[in-house]
Amino acid sequence: MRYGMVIDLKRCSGCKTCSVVCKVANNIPNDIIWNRVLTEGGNAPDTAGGTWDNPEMQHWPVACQHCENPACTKVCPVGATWKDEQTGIVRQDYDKCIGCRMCLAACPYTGVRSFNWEEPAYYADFALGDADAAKHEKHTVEKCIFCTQRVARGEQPACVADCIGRARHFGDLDDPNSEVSKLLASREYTQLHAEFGTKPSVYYLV
Amino acid sequence: AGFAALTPKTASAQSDEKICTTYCNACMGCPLEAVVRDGNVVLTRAKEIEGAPIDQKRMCARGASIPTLIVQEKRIQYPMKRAEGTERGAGQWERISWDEAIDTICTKIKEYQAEFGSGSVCSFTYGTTEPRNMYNLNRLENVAQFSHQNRTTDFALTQGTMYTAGGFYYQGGVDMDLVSQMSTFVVWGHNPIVSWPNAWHYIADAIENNDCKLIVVDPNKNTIGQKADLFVSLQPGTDAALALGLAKIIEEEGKTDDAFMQQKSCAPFLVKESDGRFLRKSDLEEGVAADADDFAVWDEATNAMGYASTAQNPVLRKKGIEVAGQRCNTAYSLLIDRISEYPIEMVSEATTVPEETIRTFADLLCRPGMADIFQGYGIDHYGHGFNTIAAVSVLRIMRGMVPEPRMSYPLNSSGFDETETEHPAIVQSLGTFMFNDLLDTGKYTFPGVTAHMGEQVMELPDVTVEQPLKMLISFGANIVNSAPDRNKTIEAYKKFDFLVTANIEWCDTADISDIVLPAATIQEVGGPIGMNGCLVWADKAVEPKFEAKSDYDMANLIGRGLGLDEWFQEEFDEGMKHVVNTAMSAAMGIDADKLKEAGVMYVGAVPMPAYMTMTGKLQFYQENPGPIENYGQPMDPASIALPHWEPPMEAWPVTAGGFDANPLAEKYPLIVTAGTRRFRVHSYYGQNPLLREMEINEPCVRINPVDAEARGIEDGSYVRLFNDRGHAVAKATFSAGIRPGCLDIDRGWQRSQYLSGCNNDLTSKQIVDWTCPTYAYHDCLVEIEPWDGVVAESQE
Amino acid sequence: MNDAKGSAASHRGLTVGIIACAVVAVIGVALWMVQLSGGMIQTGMRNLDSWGFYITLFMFFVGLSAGGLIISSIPNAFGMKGFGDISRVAIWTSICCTCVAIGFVVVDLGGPLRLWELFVYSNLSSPLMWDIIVLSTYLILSIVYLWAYRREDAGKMSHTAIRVISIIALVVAVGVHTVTAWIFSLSAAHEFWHTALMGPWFVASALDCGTALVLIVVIALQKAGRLTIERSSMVNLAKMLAVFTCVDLYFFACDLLTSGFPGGEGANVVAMLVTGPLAPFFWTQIACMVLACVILFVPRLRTKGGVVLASALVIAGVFCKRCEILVGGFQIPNIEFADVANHMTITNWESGMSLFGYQGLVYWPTPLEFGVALGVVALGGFLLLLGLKYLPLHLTEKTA
Ligand SMILES: Nc1nc2c(c(=O)[nH]1)N[C@H]1C(S)=C(S)[C@@H](COP(=O)(O)OP(=O)(O)OC[C@H]3O[C@@H](n4cnc5c(=O)[nH]c(N)nc54)[C@H](O)[C@@H]3O)O[C@H]1N2
Ligand SMILES: Nc1nc2c(c(=O)[nH]1)N[C@H]1C(S)=C(S)[C@@H](COP(=O)(O)OP(=O)(O)OC[C@H]3O[C@@H](n4cnc5c(=O)[nH]c(N)nc54)[C@H](O)[C@@H]3O)O[C@H]1N2
Ligand code: SF4
Ligand code: SF4
Ligand code: SF4
Ligand code: SF4
Ligand code: SF4
Ligand SMILES: [Mo]
Repeated sequence: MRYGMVIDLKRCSGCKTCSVVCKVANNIPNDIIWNRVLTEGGNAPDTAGGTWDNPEMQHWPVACQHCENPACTKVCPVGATWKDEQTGIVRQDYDKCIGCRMCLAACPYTGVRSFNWEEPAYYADFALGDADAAKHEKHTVEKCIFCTQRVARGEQPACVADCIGRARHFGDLDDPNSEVSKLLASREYTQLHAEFGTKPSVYYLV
Repeated sequence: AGFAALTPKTASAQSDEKICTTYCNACMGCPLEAVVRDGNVVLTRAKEIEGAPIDQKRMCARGASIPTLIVQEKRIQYPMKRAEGTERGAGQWERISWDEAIDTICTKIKEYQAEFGSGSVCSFTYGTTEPRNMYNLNRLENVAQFSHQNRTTDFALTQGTMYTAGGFYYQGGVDMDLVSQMSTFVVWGHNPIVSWPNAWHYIADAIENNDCKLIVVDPNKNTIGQKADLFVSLQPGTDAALALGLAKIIEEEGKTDDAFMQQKSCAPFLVKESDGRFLRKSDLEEGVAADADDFAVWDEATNAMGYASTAQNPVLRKKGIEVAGQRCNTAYSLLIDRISEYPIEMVSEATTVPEETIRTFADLLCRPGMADIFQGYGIDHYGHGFNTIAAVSVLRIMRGMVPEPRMSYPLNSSGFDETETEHPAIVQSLGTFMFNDLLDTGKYTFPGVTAHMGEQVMELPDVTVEQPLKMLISFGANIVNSAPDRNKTIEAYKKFDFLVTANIEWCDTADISDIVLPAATIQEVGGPIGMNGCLVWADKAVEPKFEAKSDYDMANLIGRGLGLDEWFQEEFDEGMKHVVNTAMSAAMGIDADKLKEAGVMYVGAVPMPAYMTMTGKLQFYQENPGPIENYGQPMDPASIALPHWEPPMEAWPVTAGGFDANPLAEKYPLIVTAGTRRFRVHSYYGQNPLLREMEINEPCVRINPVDAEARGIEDGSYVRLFNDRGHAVAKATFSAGIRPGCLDIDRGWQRSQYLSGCNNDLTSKQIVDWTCPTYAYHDCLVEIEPWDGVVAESQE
Repeated sequence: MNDAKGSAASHRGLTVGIIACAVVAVIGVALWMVQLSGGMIQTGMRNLDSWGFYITLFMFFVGLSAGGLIISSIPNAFGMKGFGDISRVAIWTSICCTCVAIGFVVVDLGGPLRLWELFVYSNLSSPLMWDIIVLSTYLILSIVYLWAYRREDAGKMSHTAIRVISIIALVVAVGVHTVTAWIFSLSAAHEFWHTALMGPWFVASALDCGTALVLIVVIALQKAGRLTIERSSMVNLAKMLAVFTCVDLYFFACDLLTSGFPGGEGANVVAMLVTGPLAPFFWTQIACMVLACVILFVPRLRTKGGVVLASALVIAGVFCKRCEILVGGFQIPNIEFADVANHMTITNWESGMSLFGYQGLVYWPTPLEFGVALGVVALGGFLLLLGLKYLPLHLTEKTA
């Protein structure tokens, strides 16, 4: 089994609902965003690049790509980030991480990994999100974990369940009958930085 | 746990968790689930809506941020009063008890009403338009005989679509099932990706499954523009010319849906030359009962006059018909005359849209399959907003786009149980734009107008409304932030003797008040709402934080404090039952208890026997329109009988279409609009720190690099926008999608979030169309310059 | 021949130096505690430039240490004469540098208390793990090496044994540097780092700055009367330094040409160095190294002062290169679409727009980092001086 995500760029509206639900569901500390929705265009979110004759803007939701050949797990000296062979999910052990940031440097997808540069801070004085969401720790690295806690219960990841554009799909890439496999079979797609050979499990329908 | 196969279901409760039904009250009333742990909302998610024929599940980033909204720092925690001896707006506050707050408020109300009349106390109840609040607030306003403050916002779209098509389509959201079936969909002056976020996926469905062509009409290529097959950028405020020009092409090319117009519109109605009114059965026969009245048409089948309800083949294009001594023309022939004033060359010149694009647009509108136009507030917020909306409606009617008459399921938020027929009613409706004068002199004078009734020309005199104003109670809304010309708004508000603000969060309006009351959020109160075909009864998910109270309870407390106990007996749950339990609900087998039990019920759209226009037919022609909001203003109905185009009142920096440029443009050459922003609904949600992470954490203005570079402005630098009314400092962000000559500034940041000024310091309260007085937020000229960081003296 | 007075003065100088270093090191440790308790948010590092001054200095000191050892081993390994005296100092210097390098890894860690996990959960595919292994091996070997010399002095060890050890040391030293290079070059994520040349290039840098360091130390010791060395050995060393520096420059030139020539991302790397935000470092490096070569190749300039200057220039040049490598690696993001930046993601995030964080240098250390770094370096200085003072490094005693 290899869980993967398929994101339809034609349907993504750049609304960042996925970013917010991800933050809430996983009780992610302040100023850390696992799932960013980037704007290809100008220098700021929701601005177009190019010129007025042909302004260009496209939104790209980008989180950990759960690479089949992850650059991050190889370099982690203690196996605090590791690939769960059973599910294909690249996981993260906060209580093991020594904070060396090898993984940050190794991951080619700039910005999907975050280090807790200080004691995690939160806007609420109670834990948000899933009761079984892992506790965040100072000086450790974190990232999208494909909502392991939910997937283990047979639920969809938060970002998929609440995507307002119905642009996100999650499932077993090894199963030809899964929704994700079918989408990949029927639509044109691209991957982020396939040239790095990381074999991402996140696909973008174009 | 093993990794089971995934089900689409997401609802599962962990131990010690409670899952409540709730909704978000910001724009579309999305039905949500709140996960509650230890008395706190820890997660919100879109609720599955069972029984809906289409996927109705929805929640945007704002709804997802409710858990932190409830506990955000800026929540008002306790009743507060301005510290003794300090100036209004000085920011010195003292915590008081609810008893003291209600006591003070009621004493003041009684004093002012005794001395200056009941209307001297005014209330504003536009906070959130949900029955949860509105029901009892309306009741209070009526029973206590307050005058009612109207914000005069969004009226053009309301009135324009009401008069022409009998109501909102798509915006109320009951028509999303239709959207996904479209072959051509036009988004006109609207940015649903941001402003009605869940509408997008239906449009995306249409594109994906139906090869739907999406056309976006907007000066700027915004977030919906990026998805368009045809993006039509036009000179702001020239939409009516474009619409009427398109109508002319469609008529000339014989692509009108004549059968539709014959059956469903006023097109064949005979309009009397003498007074511009429809010729009715009651004009021709004695003793026609009102409900049996009919409209005269010319039936080609019999080559004689007939009536709309029975004629076989009512003629559309015929002029100079003599009937019973009256010279008449079909309404449609009048429209043809009107659109003949908009030849493509002229339209192209006025709008700057290339002729070729206009033709492509017309062709796409006439593509086989279903088509419709989703009109938005981008064209509402202009001096001539009503006319523009009506002009676009012409296309919908000519092409037979308007769906069958239907409406959203209505809840009763009138303030009274359906059986309570004997009750006091509001004395007076006041527009915010009247406040400055009412506070200065106790009266407001509407300018007179010249009215054309058929051949007759009449001078309608000035109308003066007298009403001393002393006290204002604002439940919700943040009018100091949202109303145009903020400096004028503040000037006026400071002249009130006493200001009370009830809100869930501290805001610009609270800043200048005397008493501030902490309102409870929907999750702390619960209650019913009806939106997008869904009825929801929200649970009270958590106890109100701090000392917050529901608006309902506040109305009860004030009502009782005024000695109006008999009207304010019912507690919240009781009151809310009247909201759901109407005759209509009963007929559909719905009642409050059932709804409460179900949480969410899908009711879909309610079919109507006829369009809810004045004639029951789609109307591009208005025979005698009155305003939906009547302040006693004089009106010139003939001027809006048929839509026409006039340039914006201020935002007209060009000479085109036969109109000279506004000379003000020499000083202020740029047009600034404030489109909706993703992470705030106006100012609401705008202080929620979770959402602040999602955007650049300060007010921004998008600008075309060409305009910026001409002024020495760098991407990411601070700029000052200014005109004679005021200024706003924002961060310039370059976007090639902004039309040169235009600026798009953020809307809804509180004044305290700006370095200097505020976006609504720039806008104007001026109203040009007295048939439909509405604020023209987008109709605004400014200049922009790099900001040197010095706070100008106009800033208090 | 130095008189006792001079020697006593230098002894007093050493003592003062040791105390000064100890004080600075203690302050450094205190600052490190501040960093750990208040969080690394106090450094200039952020998610998108996640290593900084510490790792720059780590690279730098690994270079110094490996270079020192290589220099001291080559004569032994190849049976060259006249370097014997230098070797002991060089080994000690490199031990100290290794400690400093390890110190920099430790102060860079978020969870130093979890260091033990490295041994328990060792993930052998991690270049960091390899580096830790070679560094430890190297450290142990250096100590053994030094001990072997001691034994030799006592006549208890044959010179052949020293030669064997020196050959092993040579291999490990080259290995240390190559592996350190791999920490960077095996990361395909950073265009600037991902080059096969990185290893050899690091070795070249190690050689030139290691030689330079040894030269400086030797000349200083000689000045202090703690060591005598034949002029010819020094000239040889100086010439070697010049050659190493040229090789280093040559590798750099090869790499830049290979990166830049095809255009694309690589061209951005070249632009970043030559005209972009890293240009000051790049041109300083080039200027230092070229000037050093001129001094070292022109016999007239090859005076003691000249050699010291040239050595210092080489070290400065290599330091600049370390900065270029580290910051340069982060300077060009792979995903450069706009998003909001915050104080966790980008050092200069004030604009709120991430792409603007990339204007200018993405990273610059904070005073705290300078402080901690100074502390770590002082710790090294402390060890070095302590060694010079108390360890039988075979200095004046033997030549006396
Ligand atoms: N996220 C979010 N959603 C909201 C709100 C919010 O504040 N935030 N507010 C809610 C409310 S109350 C309202 S009224 C709606 C408003 O939402 P919309 O109907 O989408 O209106 P605007 O965003 O004001 O303007 C829409 C577009 O009109 C364009 N426009 C400006 N001038 C012209 C013109 O002359 N011609 C044409 N064709 N287009 C023009 C603007 O560039 C803009 O892209 O959104 C609702 N939803
Ligand atoms: N420049 C410019 N200005 C504009 C526009 C524009 O296009 N350009 N658009 C205009 C439009 S379309 C509109 S509709 C107006 C909107 O103007 P407002 O309605 O004044 O704006 P909001 O900021 O949405 O105010 C809602 C307030 O209600 C509070 N609230 C939420 N729930 C409750 C509750 O249960 N009880 C109470 N008591 N308070 C509650 C929120 O905290 C918030 O302060 O803004 C207008 N302003
Ligand atoms: S929620 Fe869906 S539509 Fe919105 S940004 Fe995320 S992926 Fe795109
Ligand atoms: S995207 Fe980066 S962090 Fe995620 S698995 Fe791939 S290499 Fe690792
Ligand atoms: S920072 Fe943590 S997860 Fe990343 S490589 Fe180091 S130990 Fe592994
Ligand atoms: S899968 Fe879960 S953790 Fe990953 S981005 Fe989506 S919500 Fe966040
Ligand atoms: S802000 Fe509007 S669209 Fe978003 S959750 Fe609330 S009601 Fe729904
Ligand atoms: Mo509105």
